[in-house]
Amino acid sequence: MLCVVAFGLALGMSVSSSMYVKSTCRDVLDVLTAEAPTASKFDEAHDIWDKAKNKLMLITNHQDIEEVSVCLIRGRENARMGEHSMAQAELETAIFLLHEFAERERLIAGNVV
Amino acid sequence: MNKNPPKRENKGKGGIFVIISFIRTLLLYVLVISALRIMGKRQVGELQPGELVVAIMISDLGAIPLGDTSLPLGSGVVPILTLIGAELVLSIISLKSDRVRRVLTGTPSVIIKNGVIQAEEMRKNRYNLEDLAEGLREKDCYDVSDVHTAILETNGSLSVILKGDKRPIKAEDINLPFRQETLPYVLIADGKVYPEHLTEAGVSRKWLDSAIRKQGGKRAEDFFLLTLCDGKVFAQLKEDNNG
Repeated sequence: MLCVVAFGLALGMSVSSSMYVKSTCRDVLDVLTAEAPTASKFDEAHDIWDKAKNKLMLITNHQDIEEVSVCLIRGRENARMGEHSMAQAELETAIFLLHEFAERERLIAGNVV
Repeated sequence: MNKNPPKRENKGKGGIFVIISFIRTLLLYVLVISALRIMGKRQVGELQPGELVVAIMISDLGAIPLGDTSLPLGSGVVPILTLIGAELVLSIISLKSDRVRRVLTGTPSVIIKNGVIQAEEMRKNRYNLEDLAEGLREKDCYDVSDVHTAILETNGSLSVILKGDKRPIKAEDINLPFRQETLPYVLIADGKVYPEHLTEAGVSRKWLDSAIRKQGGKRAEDFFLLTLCDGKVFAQLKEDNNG
């Protein structure tokens, strides 16, 4: 009985955290990849990421979460200042980081080994 | 350049970091202790190799999120839970299957048989003569010629059977009438009465009160220890109550 509980808890925590990370990354990516990089788009993406942050901090490395936050904030400010090339660069970086985030949760040999 | 940067409030979160470390340490401590407790009652020195490895791994895994608070607690909790589950599954399978148990824990080896040291068996187990002498000394046996059989157990300890003329005398050897001893009942420990032990010993609270008075105390709180064994009472008062 105890081993079932232990395995169940471990598996349950792993699967639910993996699903949550993937769905959050998907939501943010949907916003970022929709149109050209505008301040409001970065704002919206940052809002989604910020709301999910508290739960993400329970699951994954805090530094990785902050990297994405910083990227989105820099992109927003660059877009606000009219620095479109910088905003585009931050957008691409954010998209890359979010893909990496989701990729880390995939059950593939590279992640296991 | 933005001439009006947004106001940032200092919410005074500096000291929270230490409190977070404190709480995480407590949580992981409880988890690791619970994990080791679930593994069973054997002492560390008697753990099977697999159990010892799991115990060390659980401790190391618990330390990972302690050292770096940017890592989530789950990075230690999930592996520990997985190890507990795996260890329990293997224990259950070992209980049911001799073959699995032999694979996981090995089999005991007879190092001394009929008084003769089995050199081949020692070589197979990478067990040298110093190890043998040490193992025998731990069993209060200082002369290898006194040993009839010695078995190297799977947890590395040595079990020794002495030769008939070298072992301690037993009551039945000399037809000595004997009385079976029983475990002592701890009735009072550090001033606290254990009612369940009173019941097991078959004595009442009234009997205990009278025993307390006979032993020179006034109440249970005066005693550091009071035990009952085969009708005999052992009592020690606390230092500040000694005459």
